[in-house]
Amino acid sequence: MNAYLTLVQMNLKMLFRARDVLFWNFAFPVLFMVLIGTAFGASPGFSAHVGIEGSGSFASALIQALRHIKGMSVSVISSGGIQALQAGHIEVLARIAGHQAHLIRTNASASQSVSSIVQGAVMAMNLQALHQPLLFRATVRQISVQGTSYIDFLAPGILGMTLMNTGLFSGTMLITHRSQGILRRIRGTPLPTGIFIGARITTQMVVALIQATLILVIAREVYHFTPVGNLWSLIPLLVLGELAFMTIGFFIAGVANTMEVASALTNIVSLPMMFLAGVFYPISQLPRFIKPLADILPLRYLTSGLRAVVVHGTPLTHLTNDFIALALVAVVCGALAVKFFRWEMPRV
Amino acid sequence: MTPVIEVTNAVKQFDSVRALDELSLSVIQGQVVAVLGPNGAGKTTLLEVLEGLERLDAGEARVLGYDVGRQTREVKERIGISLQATAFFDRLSVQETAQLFGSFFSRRQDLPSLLQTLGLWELRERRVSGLSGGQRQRVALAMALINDPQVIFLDEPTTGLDPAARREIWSLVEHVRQEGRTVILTTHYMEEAAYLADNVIIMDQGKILAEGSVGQLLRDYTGEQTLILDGEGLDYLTDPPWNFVADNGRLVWHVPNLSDHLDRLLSDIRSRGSVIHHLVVREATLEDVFLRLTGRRLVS
Repeated sequence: MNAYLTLVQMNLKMLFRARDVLFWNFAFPVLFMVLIGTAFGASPGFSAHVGIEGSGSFASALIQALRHIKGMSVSVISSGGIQALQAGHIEVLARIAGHQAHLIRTNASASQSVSSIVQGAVMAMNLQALHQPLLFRATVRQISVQGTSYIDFLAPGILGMTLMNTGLFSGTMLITHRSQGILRRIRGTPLPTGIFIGARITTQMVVALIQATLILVIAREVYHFTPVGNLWSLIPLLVLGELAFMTIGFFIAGVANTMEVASALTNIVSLPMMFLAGVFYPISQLPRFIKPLADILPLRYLTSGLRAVVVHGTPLTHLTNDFIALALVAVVCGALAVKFFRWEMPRV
Repeated sequence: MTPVIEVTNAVKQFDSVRALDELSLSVIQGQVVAVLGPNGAGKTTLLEVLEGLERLDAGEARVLGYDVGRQTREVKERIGISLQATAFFDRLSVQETAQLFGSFFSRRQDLPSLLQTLGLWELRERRVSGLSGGQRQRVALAMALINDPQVIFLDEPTTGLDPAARREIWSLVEHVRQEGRTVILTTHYMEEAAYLADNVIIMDQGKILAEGSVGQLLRDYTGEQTLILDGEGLDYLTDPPWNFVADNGRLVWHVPNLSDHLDRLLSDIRSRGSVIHHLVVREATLEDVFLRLTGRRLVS
């Protein structure tokens, strides 16, 4: 027990003393999330542009009415309205002659909405002109719904991706220590292999928990992301996910003799998962022929599990498939990792 | 006295190389034994077998009465090792490294006094990455002693060190011996073996060629003196009755009481019309023993 705890303690010390490791483990995932979240995540408010051709009292009143609508801008156009519509500079063109407005819209859905808004404005102007009291009124209140904003989708995806990378790259540390002869030196002591590996796994679990906390906290502080599910129920998923990817990383460390080979193998494993396993966009948006490939990627099950818990509050008992898939990876790759584990470089 | 190390007919094969070839060996407690031999002689393999890092293909190795192949854990608990390529975790301090390695054993030395003995107390907060070669080797020695072992194995403990650092390691090994521990070290420095060892084992191609104290080896395999000749028309001296050994274009002759033979030798050379360019007489060394045993130099 003493050896196990001392190993975990020293592993963590070494980790927190390595700036590059700190950056890739903690700063990079957060920066990545902030970058992607800022670029694609903010849900833009309503904005539309209406072009008005013609003049007179109706035109002036309509311009006035439309300018009161939040997000709506209006331009008076003397000619070339159709071209502006076609080029997407305006959503709707209103040609006004006397008391008649002729609305021209495109087949874009935004154009359809804006033409309805303009018609609503004309209707309101009619009611006002008739001095009729309003019989029916409607008010609007906005509520936030989890899972509809991009950050709700992205945060669990980034968490899954980070766990994958940390797990996969945990094997490269073994390669470094093996090539330096440190593993062989440790093998010369009575320390059981299981304790050495167990301490390594525990260290990674601590890292994974810190990563998860960091990502969720930053997502909440920066993007007002509020997890719905019970965060404690994330832990079994985090542990199993990290374990699955660590076994892949250890397996790679077993078969690769050099860092170069290990990095190449790790990239071969991680890159398809980054883009096909539902980190940045839903798997349902993938082309149909790629979906079977996505279904065999372990990260797909981790991201879907994390998302289900965090965004929808799904209880773990409903995530049996995700758990089985990750456990299968951990068992198969764990067995391969044990089979190929080497304390030292092969003799030449 | 019961031997602390006993090897019987040990065989270890790596692909086409027979690293240990029916090797047998016995070491008694409290000795410093130097295993001397060129690269590839099997020195490191011998140590690694005794340390439980390599398994024998045939034969038996016992350390402190335990069968290394079957009771590896018991052996590892009781021995100290320093491997040839010494590396420790760069980002840990000397003290942390000692804490870590200490935690691997059920029996531990008192850390502060161990670090003080090895001159590492002042360096205890320093990261291993910031240490010099000699300091790292002292850390390696500290890690070898951390479990208060009865036997310690040092694989080329001074290779790559400057003469001052080498002397420092020598005096530490001397100190370890005074504590009553048995030390087995490999080296290809003859002066190291001569300085430290009670017993020298000369190895080549997986076999022990000779074994004994330095004085005994010199007596048995060389004369008390060595004559080195360089010249023209001297090649015939490798034949009887002279039996010189050819070494890098020179001719070496190990002979007791050189003065008794010198007159006869010089007149023989003169009578054949051969020419001597250089003539050197020196005391014999372990290098001469090795040359005599194998016809090759220890360090090429």
